[in-house]
Amino acid sequence: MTEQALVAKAVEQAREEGRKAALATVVRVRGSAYRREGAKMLIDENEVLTGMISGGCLERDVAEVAKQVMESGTPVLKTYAMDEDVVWGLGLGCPGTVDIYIEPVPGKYLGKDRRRGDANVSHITF
Amino acid sequence: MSRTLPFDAWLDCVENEQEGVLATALQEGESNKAGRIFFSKEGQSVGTLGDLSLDKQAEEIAVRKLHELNPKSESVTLIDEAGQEADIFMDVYVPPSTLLIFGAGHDAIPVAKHGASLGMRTIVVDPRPAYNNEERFPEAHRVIADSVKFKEKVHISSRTYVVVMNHHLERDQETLKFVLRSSAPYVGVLGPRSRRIRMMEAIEGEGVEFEEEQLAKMYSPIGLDIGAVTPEEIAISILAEIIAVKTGHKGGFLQGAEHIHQVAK
Repeated sequence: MTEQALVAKAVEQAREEGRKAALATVVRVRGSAYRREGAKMLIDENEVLTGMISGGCLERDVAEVAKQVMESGTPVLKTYAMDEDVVWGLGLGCPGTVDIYIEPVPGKYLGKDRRRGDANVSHITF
Repeated sequence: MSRTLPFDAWLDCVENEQEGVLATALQEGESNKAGRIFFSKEGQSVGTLGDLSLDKQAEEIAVRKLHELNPKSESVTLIDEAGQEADIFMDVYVPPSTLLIFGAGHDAIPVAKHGASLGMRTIVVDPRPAYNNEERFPEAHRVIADSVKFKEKVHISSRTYVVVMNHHLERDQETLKFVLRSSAPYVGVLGPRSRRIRMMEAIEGEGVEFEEEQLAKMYSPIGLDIGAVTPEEIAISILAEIIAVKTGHKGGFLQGAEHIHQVAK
């Protein structure tokens, strides 16, 4: 299964089980970065991560931001300038700047199961 | 589908392995107003970016991307009706490519295995059930068919990457007649150049002709030049070549290269 499919499946599961979750997407890359635009990671309320948005440098911090996003219900666009070794102090040396969009995943929906292709499903999410 | 949410439409498109583009206005806060629109390849759209002009521009970009062989997701800055700049993330979903392997010999096993691990829909075609079975190819779909049945049983699209490795001249020739005239962007043929020339001469001797571009997608000898010897190494060499063709890269060493990823067009 591709990563996009894994993340999409994790979104569905979190919804079905009524877990809160946030979706992080790499939306802009300048310079070098391990993951490119479109890479996604789902973070659920238990801090279970699905997918990768970097080579391991950003996942923890993004998960922290994701918690706030789940809490507040408002998306955050965060820029990581990875050439600032100071920030990481680890000398990871991924010399790029990455923008990550972190948004709450819509949790509930009303009506029939949308996967049955019903065109008149109404939702109470954004 | 007009009342479905764009995000749900995106989930559906991934789940059903269809192409689609999800355009998202990158704005912080006020999630209730977060503009978003989804475009399917069939030209349907769900949602809005909150501005008709933005929707129209996003649609143009989406349509263009959906017609590219290897489209990339990217952020674009558009101007809305009020003349304000808006950052929109165009997220392109392209379903997994298909790896179509002709020949179920022992050396096809690692090709199928690695292909599946790359997330490719992997199909093995071979008329011999003793070879082409689940035990040998657990991750692959298997099609038991000889060349007479190809048209009926084997579907090839512009995202189907073909590997011809029957270890059998006649079967390879029949396969080539079928796959070279298909819309597959890549046809890799196992074996040395001399063998390929011999096969192509035999096929032409039958009066079958190919167009220039059909011949141009034939890669033979197959694989990147990494000195592969074992079936496992050869599988890596073949799949590395397929990735390179798919992404429009040249293969070879990155050492000394200016860019790792291709610069977006």
